[in-house]
Amino acid sequence: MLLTPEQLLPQQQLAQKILDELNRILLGHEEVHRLLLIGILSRGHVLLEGLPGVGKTALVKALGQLFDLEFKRIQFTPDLLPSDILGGNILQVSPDGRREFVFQPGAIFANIVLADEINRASPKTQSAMLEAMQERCVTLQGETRKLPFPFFVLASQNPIELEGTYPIPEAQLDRFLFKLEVTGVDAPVLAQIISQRRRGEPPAPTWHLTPEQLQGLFDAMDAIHLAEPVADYIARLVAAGHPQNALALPEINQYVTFGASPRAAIALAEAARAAALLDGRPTVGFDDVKSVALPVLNHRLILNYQAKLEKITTAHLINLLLEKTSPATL
Amino acid sequence: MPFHFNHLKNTTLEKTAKKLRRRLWFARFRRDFLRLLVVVFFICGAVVLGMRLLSSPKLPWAVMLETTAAGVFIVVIAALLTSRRHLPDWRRLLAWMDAAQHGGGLYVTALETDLGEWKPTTPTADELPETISWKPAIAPLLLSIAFLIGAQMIPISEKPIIKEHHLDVSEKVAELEEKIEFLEESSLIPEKTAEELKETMEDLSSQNDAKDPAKTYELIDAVTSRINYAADMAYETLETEASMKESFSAMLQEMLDKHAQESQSLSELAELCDQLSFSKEDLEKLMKEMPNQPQLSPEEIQKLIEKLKEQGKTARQLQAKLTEKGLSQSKGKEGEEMEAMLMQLGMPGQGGISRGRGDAPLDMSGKTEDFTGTFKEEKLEALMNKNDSMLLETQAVKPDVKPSDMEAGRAGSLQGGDAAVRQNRSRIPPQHRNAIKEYFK
Repeated sequence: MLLTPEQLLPQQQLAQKILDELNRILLGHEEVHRLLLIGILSRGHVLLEGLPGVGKTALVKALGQLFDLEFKRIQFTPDLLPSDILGGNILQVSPDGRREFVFQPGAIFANIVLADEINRASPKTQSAMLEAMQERCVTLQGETRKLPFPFFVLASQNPIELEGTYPIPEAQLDRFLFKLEVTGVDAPVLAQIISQRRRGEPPAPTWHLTPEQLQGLFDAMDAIHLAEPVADYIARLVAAGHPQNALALPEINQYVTFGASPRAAIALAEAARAAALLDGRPTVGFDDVKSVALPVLNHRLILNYQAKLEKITTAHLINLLLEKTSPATL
Repeated sequence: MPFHFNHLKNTTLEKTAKKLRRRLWFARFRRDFLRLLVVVFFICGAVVLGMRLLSSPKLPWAVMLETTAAGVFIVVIAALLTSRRHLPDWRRLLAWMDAAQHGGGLYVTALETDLGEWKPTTPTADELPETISWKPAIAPLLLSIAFLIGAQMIPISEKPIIKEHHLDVSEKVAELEEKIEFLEESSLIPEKTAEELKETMEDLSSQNDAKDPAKTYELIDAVTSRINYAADMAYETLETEASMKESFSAMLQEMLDKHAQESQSLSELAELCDQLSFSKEDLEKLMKEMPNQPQLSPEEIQKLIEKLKEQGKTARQLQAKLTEKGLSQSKGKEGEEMEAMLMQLGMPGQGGISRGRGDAPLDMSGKTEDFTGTFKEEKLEALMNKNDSMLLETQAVKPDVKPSDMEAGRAGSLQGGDAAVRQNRSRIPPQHRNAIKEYFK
């Protein structure tokens, strides 16, 4: 049974309120805010990519402030160790004079973790972080500790200054629900920022989202209906991105080495649900799938050297997929 | 597939879906009908064109109209069936409506669960996808109609396709007539046979219009065969006659020479004829021409001999003429013996060192000159080429130096070991040279 309009309306209004607050705090990134919220509602991790100074860190910090959740920031550097993130056992003297090892949780034990410039850490540290993201728990010395719920990693990386960085392998990139490109803003927005933000400091949020409200949003997400033809469309869209597949386009066969994983199809369905919720609908439509296809598939299509030589981007191929793969043919 | 979702019964969505399905069916039918019509028009045009070019008789208008009506009826039925067959099911139809009308998944969800209080915006059935448009079929349809009309306007070809022409066997007929005339004049065939052959030749002349070339050539072959058979028979008869007369004249001559001083009686001569099994009719015919019968003087016998020789010669001449005209393939007794011998000796495959080439005819003509010269030793250039040969051995031999070369200070004289060394080299076959070069590379 679908949610009634009365049941869905408060959740939709709440999601819209979060968006409005984000748009008020940070100017000129409405679409990024929407997708980031979709990522949060889908309980996925988000990778933000953009040049320095475009507001990646500010966005995540604003989100951390807006959500009444534990927020921690880790600045990734080449000498960062896995224990700096995950934590470790340290020797402590108890009041009765006994010495014992006590677990000191790392920065990852938080609801929202900002992994700033994630590509600057060594592969060993990146692996520890990404493993925790997937499993949502940390195992140290044979003891497994669950991470708090909800748990989101919002990572940022810089596409330039690649000297001394360690690009995240494709297999680990797959664990991010979205890869969002944060671009600069246009001149009118820039003028607005200059006039309204002294020293670039964003205003503090006037309102906080409680964990109960967030849980209510998650419950509403679970009630969003995904019809079979829409699921079939998602499956065809992902399959068409695989070279040599029966549904693959000629351009995909020409430029793509590996297509998206089944995890991508799941992510697409989940993100489409969140998009439907933001739109105030209890059902996922074809347009919802199309609206989230780019950030979901963006980092999951592995292009070959010919594509790089001809400056073909994944965005171009995904748009082609959306254009050529029809939701339903008569 | 029936529209059996109870929770959609009598809803706007159901009505719209059914309306859209009907429109879709009609649109498909219209498109398929036009496409099939194009095919039919092109086929009809091709048939009309073919008939006109082949000068087939004109079809009556009634037949043409009936055929056209039947074709259109078949096209309508085929278009109905194909459009019905490709009609999408309700799930695909609603999915298409959802995507086209931006229904947000409500239409497709309506197939799976009750929408409850959700009222999706009422879709319109006016829009149809461009893929079912009938407009792209217009241009081919006009083209096919133009082709049909154009084919109808081409005039029927009046010229017969097959040209009349006569079979030219005049040369062959003339040759055969000449042969028949020769045989008749030489009295080598009976008159009756000659008349029959002439009649046949007249028939042959009247049948040279190429209506039945096989029959004409069969007749020519039959006449040729009959003439050749008659000629062969005549040749054999002449051969017998000439041989006997020559033999008899030779014997008479011998007897005359032997008993020149004695008078021979006719009875003795008759006995002799009996002994030789000679035809008495010819002899009696000759005797009648002789005076003082029955007594024959040596002079008269000499005349008889001359007469016999002359008749034998005439028979031989006739034989030669038959062969010359190609009427007889007989070569006579000597020719047959010679041919048999040549066949035995000169059969292909019987060649050898002492017999010459196997496939060459052995005609025993010409003569090989006896070889009296001496062979001159000469080294072939290829063997002297070091690149294309292989050193087998080096021998120390007595230097072959002329006394004149041994004079002191003479340019080009051979001295020391160089003059006493001989190399034996083996030639490397051309097909192995590259392999050897590659190996030592």
